[in-house]
Amino acid sequence: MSQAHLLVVEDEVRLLNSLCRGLGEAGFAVLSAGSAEAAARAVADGEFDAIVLDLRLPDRDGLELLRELRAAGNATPVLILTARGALDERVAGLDSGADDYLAKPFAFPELIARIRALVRRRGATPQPILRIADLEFDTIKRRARRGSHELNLSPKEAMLLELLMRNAEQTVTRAMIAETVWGAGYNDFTNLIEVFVNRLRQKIAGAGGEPLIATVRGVGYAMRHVR
Amino acid sequence: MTIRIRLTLFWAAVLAVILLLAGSAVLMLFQREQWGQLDGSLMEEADTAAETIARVTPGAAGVIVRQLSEERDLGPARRVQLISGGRVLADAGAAQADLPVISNVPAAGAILEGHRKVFRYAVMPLRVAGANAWLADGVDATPIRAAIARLERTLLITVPLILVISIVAGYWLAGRALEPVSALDHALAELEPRDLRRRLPYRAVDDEMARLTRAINALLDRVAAAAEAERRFATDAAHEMRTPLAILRTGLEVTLGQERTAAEYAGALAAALRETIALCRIADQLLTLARLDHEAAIARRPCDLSALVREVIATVEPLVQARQLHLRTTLNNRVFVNGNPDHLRRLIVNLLDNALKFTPEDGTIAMSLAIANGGPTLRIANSGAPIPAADLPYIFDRFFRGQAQGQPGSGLGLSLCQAIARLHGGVIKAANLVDGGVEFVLSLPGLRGEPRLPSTVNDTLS
Repeated sequence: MSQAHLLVVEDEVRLLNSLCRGLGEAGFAVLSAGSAEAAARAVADGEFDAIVLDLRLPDRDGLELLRELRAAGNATPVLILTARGALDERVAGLDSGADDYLAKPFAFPELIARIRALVRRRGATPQPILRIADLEFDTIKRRARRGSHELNLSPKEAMLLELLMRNAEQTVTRAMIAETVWGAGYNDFTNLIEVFVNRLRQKIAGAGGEPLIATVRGVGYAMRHVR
Repeated sequence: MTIRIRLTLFWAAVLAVILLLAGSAVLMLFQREQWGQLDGSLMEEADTAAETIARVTPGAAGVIVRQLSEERDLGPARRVQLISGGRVLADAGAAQADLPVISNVPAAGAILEGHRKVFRYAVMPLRVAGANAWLADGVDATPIRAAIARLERTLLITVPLILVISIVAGYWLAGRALEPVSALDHALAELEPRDLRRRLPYRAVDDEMARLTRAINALLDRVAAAAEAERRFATDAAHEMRTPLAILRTGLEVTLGQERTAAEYAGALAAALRETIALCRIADQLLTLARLDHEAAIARRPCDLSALVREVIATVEPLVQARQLHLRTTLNNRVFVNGNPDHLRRLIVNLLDNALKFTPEDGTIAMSLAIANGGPTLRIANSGAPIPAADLPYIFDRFFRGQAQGQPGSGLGLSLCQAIARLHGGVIKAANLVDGGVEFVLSLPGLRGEPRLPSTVNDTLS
């Protein structure tokens, strides 16, 4: 996979430096912008796989910049970073065309996982049937099969499986699972997520073969097919 | 005991007294009226008869007595006696009549009751054949006594009845009058501290309940405003801490992401320390602000503001020199204020710190302390860019950063200054100077009875 290009827009220089360094070390090609104006110029000049956008910028509101991008037909995945954490602001961000949202202070591995998910989603065309090894999930009929064996999944388990399969070979963080399956605010119930993942794991393993769902210590889970 | 029951009992007591007095008065007036008429007529007839008898022979007197006893215009029966020297000279009329007990007769005559209180007599003195005598002219007063008794009975029945009806009506009325209070009680019980937008309904009339309800609503407005301010403060505080926390966390996580050289670790630790210090400062200021918010009064004592200002200036001197600024001071000596020296020092430090932050290199800061308008006035002016007009009303608001956006600082310094000034009964005002620069003026109330010794010391520090 070629290096993904990121644009990081953040006015707090010290945070911007850490972000660029960390994301660079994680294998991304990073371009930084300290203002909405600089960001607009960067977007006009080049193509990015994803944009990390701070909402509070000295010259303009980040949401305004985002709406302009979307209005101009730019579909680059955008992850919003903000110190505002209220739910309505999160909704406003997603309404303005953001693809994901992280409240400061965030965990850096979480940021990387989310950016990877965004970049991957951009490349992939939506497939109605997801496959990994001999596990198959039909996203329309909401049915999963392992080989010829049909798995009996609850709606929440199906959502969890879809999330993991869509991000196959990638780490899916607990927060991402909580938000996708239960909605925002369930992040703290780590036990709940563990119980669900274990139950799903058992159902998948029960049909025979490798367990497929690996635990990424301290961060989340990943669906992996070890050949 | 509820107000309703108390009101009803009070009303019943008042009404009972009124009814008792009114009933007694009616009864008394009726009796006086009834007896007055009868007694007047009786006396008049007895007087006329006595005068006539005194002039006629004893035989004619018997005729007059009989004639008088046969008159029926004053009552159903009559009994007339003429007595002299213990002897009955003439006696006529109803034999069953109860006679009065007569001991001595006043000169003008008297009204006496029969000894069984049936007949009523006018007793009139006269002289018969040179001896003292009296004429007792009595009439059967049964109809009058019956009328009075009837009125008594009527009153005994109607007064308690009216009282009972009034108590019931009073209880109902008290309930009706207190109905809005019960409604208010229920409405208040439903108010939740979480939902302070709701207000109590009231009718659009200017009565006591509407006034009370409006007063409660006004209180709710103030409580809601205070709660909103607290909420905003908490949100702002959390928000303000998030950015340094994000810098700290991301910096540490990125640093720990892979092996680094000792110099890199040292650099990262130094950066982390800087953020931690900034966070400590924010936490400290927040705590002070929160404390000031809940401090209605502070421990105060007369303190020398001039000395405090000099002390602060001495502290920042190295900074002034390092940035090559010019600090000009005009400080009156012995400017006293009744205040808290720790709070006041913090105020002066923050104001001066603010001026230092916005003064360009080689710029000037001018400080003056004097008594103006009866109180100490501290002026701190600095050269540099003016505060944008749109920002001026907000610079004392908590977390307002304005042009300081991106500079170090929490946006709490000036609001802290203002809170301290207010706590001392003073105020800080900011204005752009005509010839460039910004001036902050702190006005504090004067110390009463303090001898002011005007002595100005000018010194220039650069």
